[in-house]
Amino acid sequence: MSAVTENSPFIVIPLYIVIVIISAIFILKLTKDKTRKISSLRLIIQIAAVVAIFMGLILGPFNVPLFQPLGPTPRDHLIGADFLGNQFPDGISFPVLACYYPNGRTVTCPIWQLQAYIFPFWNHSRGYDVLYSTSGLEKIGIVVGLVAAAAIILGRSVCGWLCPFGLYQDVLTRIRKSARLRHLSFSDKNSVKLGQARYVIIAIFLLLSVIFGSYAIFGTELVPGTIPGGPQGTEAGLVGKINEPFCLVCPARPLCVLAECAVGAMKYSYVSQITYGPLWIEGFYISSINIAVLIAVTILALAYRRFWCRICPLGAITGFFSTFKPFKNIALTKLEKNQQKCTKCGVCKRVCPTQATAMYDMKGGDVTESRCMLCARCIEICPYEGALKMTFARKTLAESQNWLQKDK
Amino acid sequence: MLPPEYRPAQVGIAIIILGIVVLPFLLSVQAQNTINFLPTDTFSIPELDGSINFAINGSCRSAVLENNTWIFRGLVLNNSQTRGNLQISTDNSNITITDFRSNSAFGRSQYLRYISEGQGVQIINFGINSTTNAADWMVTLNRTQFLTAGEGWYLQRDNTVVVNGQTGNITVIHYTYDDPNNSNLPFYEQHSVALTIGVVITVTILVAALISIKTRR
Repeated sequence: MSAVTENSPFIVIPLYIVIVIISAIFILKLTKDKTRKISSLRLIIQIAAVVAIFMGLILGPFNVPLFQPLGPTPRDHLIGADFLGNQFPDGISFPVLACYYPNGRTVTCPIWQLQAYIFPFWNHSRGYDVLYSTSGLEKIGIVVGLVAAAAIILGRSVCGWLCPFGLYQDVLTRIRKSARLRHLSFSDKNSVKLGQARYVIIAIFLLLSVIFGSYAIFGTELVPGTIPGGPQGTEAGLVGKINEPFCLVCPARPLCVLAECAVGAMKYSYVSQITYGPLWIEGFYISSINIAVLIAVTILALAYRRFWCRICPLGAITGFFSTFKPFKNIALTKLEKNQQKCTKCGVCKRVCPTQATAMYDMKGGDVTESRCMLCARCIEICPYEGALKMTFARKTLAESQNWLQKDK
Repeated sequence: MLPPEYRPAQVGIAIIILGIVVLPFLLSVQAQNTINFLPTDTFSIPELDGSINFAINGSCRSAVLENNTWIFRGLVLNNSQTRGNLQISTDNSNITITDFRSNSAFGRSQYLRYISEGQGVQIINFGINSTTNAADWMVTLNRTQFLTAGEGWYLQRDNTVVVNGQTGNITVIHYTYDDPNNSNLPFYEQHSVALTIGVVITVTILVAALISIKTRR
């Protein structure tokens, strides 16, 4: 009668690890082109990361049929929510666009958390079906701490190797390449400006959250309708409509939610009806603003490699904690250059998906910059042995090879 | 056709996709018997002059009328995602259920939305075993008007919600929360997550700084 399956983590996780390892070995063996080996490995890890981020969809035991539509709220099947209790019920923050809204995610986007803990949960303890026992400031401290730790350890390699939206853009790049179309590039000046714009974007949206949460923070309601209303506090007024302003424009939200609808993990009929108003104005899961941004970003990412990563506010935060002093001094994952071996051919600069230039411009040593996602594309394409390398705790992970000579 | 260097990548993707697709079949999913219903199907309660309809298609594992109460087991509507149990009775009113959400394993709320015609009484029970109080419940009229407990609805000891004299779009929600009162706990237990993260970040910085200093020498 009942459709129950228990997908034990003890079966699913080892099976997942085995599949990933076999795939990685298989792809490294199969990739004969030495200038594509790291990219191929990265692709496997990106796909594996997406599966890991949404492993709640297949992991159990949750007493629900496998791959059947899961619970309607975002938190259903969130791993870690119960583990962390009501001090931090939204799950572990990890600096990738692991959107809060779809089902089954195992980690949570820090941008959502930073906004939500300012408004409406600065001092309001109930809402979105959960209860918080700690203050907004404490929760923000936890988010910042987790992001800082991840950034110090992994740097922006989380963007290059683990972010689901990064994979989406890389797939778009592959589609463009398969159509034999050449990418467009920004001028160096504009590329730098875009990199700086990320910090303005994150500042604007956090400021909006502070303005909306002004009643709780300063005791003055700067925007009418932002005092928590309704039994949970999130049902009435503006609180129920614009809680996390960045999420209303984030392209990752509709992508994740619609992808889950496509694989049957969420029901589109449910997603589309749960709105606080007309879909084009505000939706709990997706709004037309989201979709418009997603379409625009998709078109731009087809033309410009990793377009979103150039303006991503989450990448800005990760970059801040890994490439700005004093964090830069202790960051563990780095891109390093050996000036003696570099001939200034400029190929590294040309292949960089985010048009980072430090590995070309700087003299040597640590050349990691905030625009660099540590994707290692420059390393695999550099034909001078040891000119560029990626290191973790000063141990070499990948190093440029003299592939020109060896292929002869 | 992709350039040759992309073919291994495609093979790799194919392996992963195959793994993901095969995984469900390795972990068996049993078939189930269900009763399907349509909006035209009426669940009537003749003795109380009441009737229940669903606004959209749905299914349940069983639907039985006992003591003038319809007991639906394993109920799911096509606009919802999880199955749950619902006991509902309606006296001197006809209702059309538009939404029903059960409390899944990790869900923290469950609700029923219906349109009531006639100022009768509706008796709703989600089958909650634990003790609840009125603060855990919310009843709204036309989605905007919050009804105070005792005025338009009340909660019985067996977790049955009785809505009386309301016409329109009614929502009955139950929230499941952990014990909110942890102020009696010691400081380190009240803030254990923050303290743990504090330790993690401190250790990370110290180890990273140590490595940085050591490798510079």
